[in-house]
Amino acid sequence: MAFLSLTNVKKEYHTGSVTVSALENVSFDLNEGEFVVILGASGAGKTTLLNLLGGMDTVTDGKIELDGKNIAAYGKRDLTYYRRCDVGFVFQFYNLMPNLTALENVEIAVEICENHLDPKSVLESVGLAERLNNFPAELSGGEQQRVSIARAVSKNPKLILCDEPTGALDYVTGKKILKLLYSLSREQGKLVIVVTHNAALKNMADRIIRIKSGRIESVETNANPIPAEAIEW
Amino acid sequence: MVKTYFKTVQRMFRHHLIRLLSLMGVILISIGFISGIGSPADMIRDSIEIYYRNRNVSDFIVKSKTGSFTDEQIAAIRLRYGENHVSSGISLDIQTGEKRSLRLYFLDFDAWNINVPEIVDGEKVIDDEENCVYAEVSDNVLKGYSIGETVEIDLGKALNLPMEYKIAVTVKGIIKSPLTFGKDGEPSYNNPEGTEIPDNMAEMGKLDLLENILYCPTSVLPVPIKGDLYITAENRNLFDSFSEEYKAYVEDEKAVLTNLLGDDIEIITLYDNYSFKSILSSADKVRGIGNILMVIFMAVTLLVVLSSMMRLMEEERAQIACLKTLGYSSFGIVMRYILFALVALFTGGGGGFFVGYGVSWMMCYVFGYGYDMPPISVVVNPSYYFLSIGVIIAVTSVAIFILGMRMIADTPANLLRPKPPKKGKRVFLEQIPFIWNRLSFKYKSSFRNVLRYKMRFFMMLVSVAVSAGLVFAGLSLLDMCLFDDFGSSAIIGIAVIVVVFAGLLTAVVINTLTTINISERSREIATLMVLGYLDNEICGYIYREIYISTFIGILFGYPVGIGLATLVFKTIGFGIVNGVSWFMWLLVPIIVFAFTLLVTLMLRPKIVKVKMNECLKAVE
Repeated sequence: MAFLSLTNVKKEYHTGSVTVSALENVSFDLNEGEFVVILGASGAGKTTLLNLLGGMDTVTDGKIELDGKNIAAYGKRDLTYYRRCDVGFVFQFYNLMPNLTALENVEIAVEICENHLDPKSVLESVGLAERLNNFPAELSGGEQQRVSIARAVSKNPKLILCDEPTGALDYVTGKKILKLLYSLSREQGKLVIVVTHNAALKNMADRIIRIKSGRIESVETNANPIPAEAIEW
Repeated sequence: MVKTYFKTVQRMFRHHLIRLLSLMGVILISIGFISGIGSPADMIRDSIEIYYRNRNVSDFIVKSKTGSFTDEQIAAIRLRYGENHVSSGISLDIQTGEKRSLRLYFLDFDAWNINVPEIVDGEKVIDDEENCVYAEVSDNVLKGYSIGETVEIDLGKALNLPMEYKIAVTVKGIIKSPLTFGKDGEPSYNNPEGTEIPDNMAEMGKLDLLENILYCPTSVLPVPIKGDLYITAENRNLFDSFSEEYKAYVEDEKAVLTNLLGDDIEIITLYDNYSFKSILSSADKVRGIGNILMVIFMAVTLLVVLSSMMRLMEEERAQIACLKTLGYSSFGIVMRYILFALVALFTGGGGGFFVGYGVSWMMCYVFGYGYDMPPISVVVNPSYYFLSIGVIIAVTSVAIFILGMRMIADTPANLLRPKPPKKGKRVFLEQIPFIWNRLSFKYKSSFRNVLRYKMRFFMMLVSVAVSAGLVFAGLSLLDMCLFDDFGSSAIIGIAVIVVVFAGLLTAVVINTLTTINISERSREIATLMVLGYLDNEICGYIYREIYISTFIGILFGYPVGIGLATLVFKTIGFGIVNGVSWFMWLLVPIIVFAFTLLVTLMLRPKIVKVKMNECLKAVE
C-alpha cells in the first residue's frame, strides 16, 4: 500500500442554502521520499486539498490514509495531534511568530512533539547558523522561508506540505528554497508535497498532479526530474 | 453621499457589532456610575427640603434657661414672626442611665402645627384625654415603646419642683418627628453646654443620647410651662435649608431673638440638629467621593473608546484606501468612524441613564439604613449625566477626527500596503539568563509580546492600574467604616458600589483590549493551531499576556489606589490609608483577577474560532 493514499475524496462547502463542491472524486497514491507537485490555477481546489492533507479541514466523504491511518476519520483532537507530529507546513508568507527568534520559532514547533530533530542543527543545515538569534523582521524573505522550512523539518514529520513556498520570493531565492525542499525528499526520504500554480516546477518533481475545477485532471510520474537550479520560469 | 456608500457604513456596523456592543458596555457602565453617584446629594437635599416644608419644621427652637417665657416675651416673638409661626411648649431630658436620657415634650396637641409628626401606629391623642401620650418610633438607639405601655414619670425631679410629682402615662400612638429622622441617635440636652454636635457616628457615640422620646399633652402638667418656643421663618420661601442665604438669615435672627428675649436662652437651629447635620454631611461626602471617582472613570472610558476606535480604523485600512482611490473625501471617510463612535456613545449613554437611575436608587436605599428617610424621588442628576456624556462625545469625536484625518491623509498606495507586524524585541528580562533560560517559550513569547505593543500595553496598564486603584479606594473606605467604627452606613453603601463598578470597569476594559489583541493576533493564533497546539494552549498563549499585564497593572494600581484613598479620606474627613487592614490589600488583586478571569474565559470562543486559513492569506 502507498505511503499516502487518497480515495474518492470529496469536499463540499455549505454557505446558507448553497452547496459548493470544492473537490470531487480525488484519488491518488504517493510514496515516501517523493517530491510531488500539485499544479492548478487559482480556484481549482489546491488550497482545499492542502487543508485536507494538512488536517486543517475535514472531508465530506472519502479516505485519506497516511502510513496506514485514515486521517479522514479523525476528530478535532486527533487532527490537532496529527498536525503536531505528522505534518510540517511551509507557507507562502512563512507565518513565523514575530516575537520569537529564528531558533525559538523552530523550538516552539518541536517542543510539543516527540521524535523531533535538534532545532539548532536543522537551522544550521538550512544555512542559518549565523542567524539563530535574529527576529523574523531582521531576516530577508528567503531567510524567513528557510526558518519556516527548518520548523517543518525539525518536527521530523511524515509529510511536508508547502503552499506556494516561492510565491513571495524573488527568482534566485525561490530556486534556492526549491533546492532545499527537494533535498528533503532525496536526503531525508520525506514525502514533500508542493502546491503551486507555477507549472515550471513540474520538471523537478517525481510526480505531478494536475487539478482543475475540483477534480484530478492527471497524475503523471517523471522518471528524470531535473535539479531545481536548472528549471526556468 | 450616495446609497452604496451608506451600504458600506451599514456593513461596518454589522461586521463590528461586537466592538459596538463592547463600546456601549463601557459607556453604559461609566455614564451610569457617574450620573448615579452624583445624584444622591441633590436628591436628598431636595427631598428633605420638601419634607421640612410639609412638616412645617421649626427653624428655631428657643429654650428658656429660667424655666418659662413670659406672655409678653411670647407676644413679642409672635409679633415678629407672625401668629401662626410660633408655638410654645416645653421639652426636657431625664437622665435614665449612663449616657442615656428620656426626652419629654409637653405640647399643645390641638395646635400642633409646627414640627408636625407622622402617626405611624396607634391612634390620635386628644389633648384632654387622661394621660395619653405619643412615643417616638424606635430605631438603632431609640428603644421605643409599644402601644398601651404605661410609663411612670417623675415630673417633680424633671421640672425641679419642690415636691414629688409622679404621673403614669399610657402610650396611645407611635409617631415619627421630622426633627429626628436619623436612626443613629440624637444627643440629649444633658450634654455639657457648648457641646459641638458631630456629623458622624463615632463622635456621636461619646455623647449622652436619647433612648426614648415621649410627647405629652400640656394637660398632664400641674401648671402650664412655656419653656420652649418653636419658630418657623416668616417667609417660607426663604427656607432653602441648604443655601448660604439661609445660613446668614439664621445668624441674623439669632441676634434678633437674643435682643427680644434676653441672654437667658438657648437657640437650637437646624444646624444643631444631628439628623439634619449628619445626613447632609453624608450626602456631601458621597458627592465628594463621586466627584473624585467620576474624573477617573471618565479618563479610563476615553482611553478605552479611543484605542478601540483606532484599532477599528487600522483594521479597515484596505477599505479606507479603496474609498480613497475612488475619490471619496477624507472627511467623508472619517465621518464613518465618528458616526460609529457616536452610535455607541448615544445608545450606551442612553442606557447609562437607566444604570444611573439604578445607582441612584441603590444610593438612596443605603441612605435608608441610616435614616428614616422621607420619600425620595429618585432622579439621575442631569448635570452630571449630560456633562459626562458631553465630554466623552466631544473628546472622542475630536480625537477620532484628528487621528483619523492624519491616518487617511496617507497615500492610498501606502494604505493598501498593510502595516508590517511589529518587530519582536528583546526584553529586559533576557538580561537575566538565570530566569530567562528557565522560562518555556510560552512565557518568553508572552513577555516579549507584552512589551511589543507598547501603546496597548500602556493602555492596559493605565486602565488596570486605575481600576485596581478604584477597587482599593472602595475597599479602604469600606474597611474604615466597617471596622474602625467611622462614618455611616451610607458611606458603606457607596464603598460597595464603588468596588462593584470598579470591577465592572476592569471587566469591560480588559474585554475591549483583549478583543483588540485577538483581532491583531489572529495570524499568530492560526499558526499555533497549524503547528498542532491545543485550544487550551493557544488560549493560554493569549491569556498569559493579559495576566502578566493585569499583574503589572495591579502593582501600579496600589500607588494609584493609595492616592485615591488618601484623596477620598481627605474629602470625607476621616480614615487613613495606613489603617486599612491587610485583608483589603489582599482583596484588590483577587477581585481584579476574578474579573479578568471571567472576561478571558468569555473570550475563549473568539480565540478558538479563528480559522486556520488565516495562515494562507497574504500578510495583513
